[in-house]
Amino acid sequence: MIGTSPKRKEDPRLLRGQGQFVDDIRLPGILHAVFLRSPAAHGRILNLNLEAARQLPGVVHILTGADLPPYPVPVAPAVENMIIPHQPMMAVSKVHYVGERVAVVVARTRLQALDAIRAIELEIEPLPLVLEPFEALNDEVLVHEDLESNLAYTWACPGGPPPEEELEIERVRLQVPRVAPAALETRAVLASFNPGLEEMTVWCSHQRPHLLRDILSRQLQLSENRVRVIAPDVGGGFGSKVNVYGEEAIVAQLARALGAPIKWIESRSENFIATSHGRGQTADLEARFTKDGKVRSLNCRIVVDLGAFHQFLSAAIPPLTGMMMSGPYAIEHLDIEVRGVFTHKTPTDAYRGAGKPEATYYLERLMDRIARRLGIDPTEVRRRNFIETFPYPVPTRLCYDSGNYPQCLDKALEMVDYPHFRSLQKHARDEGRLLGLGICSYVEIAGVGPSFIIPGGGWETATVRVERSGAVTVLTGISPHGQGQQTTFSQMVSHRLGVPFDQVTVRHGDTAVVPQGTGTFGSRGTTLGGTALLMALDKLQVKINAISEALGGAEFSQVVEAAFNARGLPEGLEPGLEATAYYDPSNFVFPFGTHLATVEIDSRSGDWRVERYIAVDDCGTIINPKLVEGQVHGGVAQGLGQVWCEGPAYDSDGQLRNPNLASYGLIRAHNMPTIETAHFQTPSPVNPMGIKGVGEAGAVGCPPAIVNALTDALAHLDPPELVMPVRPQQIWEILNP
Amino acid sequence: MRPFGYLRARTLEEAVEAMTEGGTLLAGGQSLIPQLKADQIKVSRVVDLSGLSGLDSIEEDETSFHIGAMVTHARLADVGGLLGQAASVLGDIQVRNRGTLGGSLAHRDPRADYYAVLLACDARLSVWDGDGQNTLSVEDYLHSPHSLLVEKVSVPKSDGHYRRLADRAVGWALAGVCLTEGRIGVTGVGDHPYRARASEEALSRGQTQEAVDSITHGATVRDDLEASAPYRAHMAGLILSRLLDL
Repeated sequence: MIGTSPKRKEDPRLLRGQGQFVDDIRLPGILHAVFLRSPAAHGRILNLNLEAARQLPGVVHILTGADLPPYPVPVAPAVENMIIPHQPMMAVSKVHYVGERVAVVVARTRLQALDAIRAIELEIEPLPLVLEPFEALNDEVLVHEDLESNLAYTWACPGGPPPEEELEIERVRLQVPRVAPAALETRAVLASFNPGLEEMTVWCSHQRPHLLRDILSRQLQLSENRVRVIAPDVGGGFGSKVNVYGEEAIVAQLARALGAPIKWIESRSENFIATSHGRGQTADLEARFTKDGKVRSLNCRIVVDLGAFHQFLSAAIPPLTGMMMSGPYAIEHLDIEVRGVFTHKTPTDAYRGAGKPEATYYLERLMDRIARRLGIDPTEVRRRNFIETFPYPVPTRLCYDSGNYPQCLDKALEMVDYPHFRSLQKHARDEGRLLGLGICSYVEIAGVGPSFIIPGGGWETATVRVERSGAVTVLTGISPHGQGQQTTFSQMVSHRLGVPFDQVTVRHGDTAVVPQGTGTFGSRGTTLGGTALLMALDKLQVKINAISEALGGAEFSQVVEAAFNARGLPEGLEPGLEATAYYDPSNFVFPFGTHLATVEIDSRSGDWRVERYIAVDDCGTIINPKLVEGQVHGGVAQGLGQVWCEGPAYDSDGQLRNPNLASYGLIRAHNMPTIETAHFQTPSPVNPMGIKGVGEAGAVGCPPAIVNALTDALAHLDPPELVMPVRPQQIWEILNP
Repeated sequence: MRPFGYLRARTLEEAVEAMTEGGTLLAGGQSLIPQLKADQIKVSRVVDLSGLSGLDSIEEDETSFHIGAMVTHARLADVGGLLGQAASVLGDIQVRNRGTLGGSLAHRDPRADYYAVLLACDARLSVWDGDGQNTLSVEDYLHSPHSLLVEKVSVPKSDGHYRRLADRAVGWALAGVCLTEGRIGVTGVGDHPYRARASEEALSRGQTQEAVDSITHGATVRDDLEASAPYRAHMAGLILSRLLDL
């Protein structure tokens, strides 16, 4: 079963509309919450009058920030000495970004709550704004008046003095602007409190139900075993549902206080301002390299647009860019500084790739620039710098587990027929047609992660339980929402125990069913959850073998019977067939690959399209090739989306210019090129199956490949750096200076 | 969605009467329903036109096509011709299968593809209001301040082409130009679709470059996140020059 592609178990139900998302859950006596959000990016609340709203039909309760206990939105100090501004659960006297929670209305229907929100009088005295992080660094306008500076933290990996030999220098400033994760299902919370049992149940569209349980337990002052969090079907997260925001605790507290279940469903427009954005970085890079293209040192100064506040784990994301700054290249001298800066905008946080797409973008643009500077083919520059031996300790204190970088590059070049394309390109240019080819060789960090690095622990759990009938139940601590582990884990169990694929049921996302877990994010589901399952299967196997032996070599079905009848069991062996394992990895895993794109630009309009897209990925051992393919496709779509049209745009008042799907471009199916894929399977030595994770690879590999291709197509014009999203107008302005 | 009244009109007269009483017309529902779901508009009564006979017909005589307002984009795309060129690129498959010609025209959106074609073909709209039936030119319809029910559109048979550059965010025409013999319709460029009369006159004098250069003459060119005014203007000219095969 391993290495085959049975159809996804998850799909028939979802395709028939039988999925159950938070909004599908109905409870008797349910009330609905809607939040009033700040319409201003920075200001003092002069007046917040609820009288008119309170009089409206159906309104049950209205809360403001002043009504809530003064404890803040929780933030983990993921970077040493970071400044953590006080973030009340709802704004108390000031607002700091458009979308900040100001009040919440609970009403009998959602529309009644909406009407009441509109009837609240909110008067805000505008205060000066700072929207751009470099401007924020001047500290002329402070995002938080009680702090001395907008600088939240500096993460550094100092490299000492650069090498003394005489070297070429390439300097460039590169940007990776914000993107909205825009999951198909917006955020959603439903809370119900049982006063007799003193137990809280919270359904939440979330990637980490156990983390949410633990945080809610502290916020509600109920022990963890009195808080049950259920992540039912979750319509995408992409990192935006890893964190704990504030709505979860507010809705839960309201449910307890009002004695009724309360549901909050984020609207699509709310999602653009109230759910974290991804990326938002600018880097000043300086590479020093020999005349034959060997990079000796890299200096990288990154400024991160944090938005107005930290979120629980958001500070952990930008350092990932710093840690991965040497990519697949043996650059011995790295000097990296990452500065997180507050601005009056929606907070930024994890988004598919989480720090790695930024690092990869910087490096791969730099490689092309170095190649151009030296007149060496860009593939050759990469080849001359690739890491060749593994494990490879990186100066940023990571250690790459395994790899074979040239193999992926070679395969991509073979698939595109590189020499043929270059001659085609030359002929086309003679005719005035603009063709370009871009390469991105990447390595990323996945399998998050070892507990000695991940704050709060990064382990994963699995339980495998054989039922009396021989059916098998798997409980996993990951929380898949599209990744397909109901399928892959069933494959693993079927492969190991010989039970039919259809008789395996995988349960997840309910803290009352799966007691412990860490969740799905950071390309960790199969790497960690799968390894935990393998370890549980190993434990179970020992017991199965012992029973089988005692019964004189009994088959699996006889072993199951004996285990439950508890007859003929070896002395001291407990009845039942069940095993639980916790897996804490010794290291991250480092998937890699080469993505390659060819583009054609219409020289008169600047319009462009992707002609060919080739993705050669190596994510170690593959359990289900079809699901890996799906992950690559999804990642590439989001990566291409960022180059094609995606990205929140702010005006000078801190308002989003594209705050809904009638103006915010998401890439569509018909914009997608055919994706040609190939895979290698270099096993990871970190885990027994050799798995590496592939959820983020496409989003890491795609944007640099496309931007490099566009830049290549314009090479004769010596173009300035393109800035994503690259709308046709941007190209046209280069073509018509 | 908020509660609203609903009338499935049995006759055109009934629909018009309900409209004049403040009812909101429902054709294919590709704009109205999302707006209702997002609570962006409030309606007292929805007047469903799907039960009216004759509004989904496509008739043809020697000089013109007569297209009922309830004909879907997908059907128009299948019919082909100039209107079919516009119908086949607008929206997406789902929108084209449900959305209608009349529904698109009702919004008078400055970026709607059909308008370029209808202006260039000198189409006539058969419309209704409380005073009865009336026939309007496209420009009169675009600038009419009244609620009107579009019954059908008569499109003189014309040779020509419609081309556009779509915005990447949603797929509206960032610039769309339809060129027929003697007429040029432009959509997506101005604050409303328009006939590029200066360009038409230049063409009649055989001055093609001047026609291209004057395509935004008199128009207030849109400027937004997707495209600046100069870029839009340039694109409109570029599309015309390509239609003229310059």
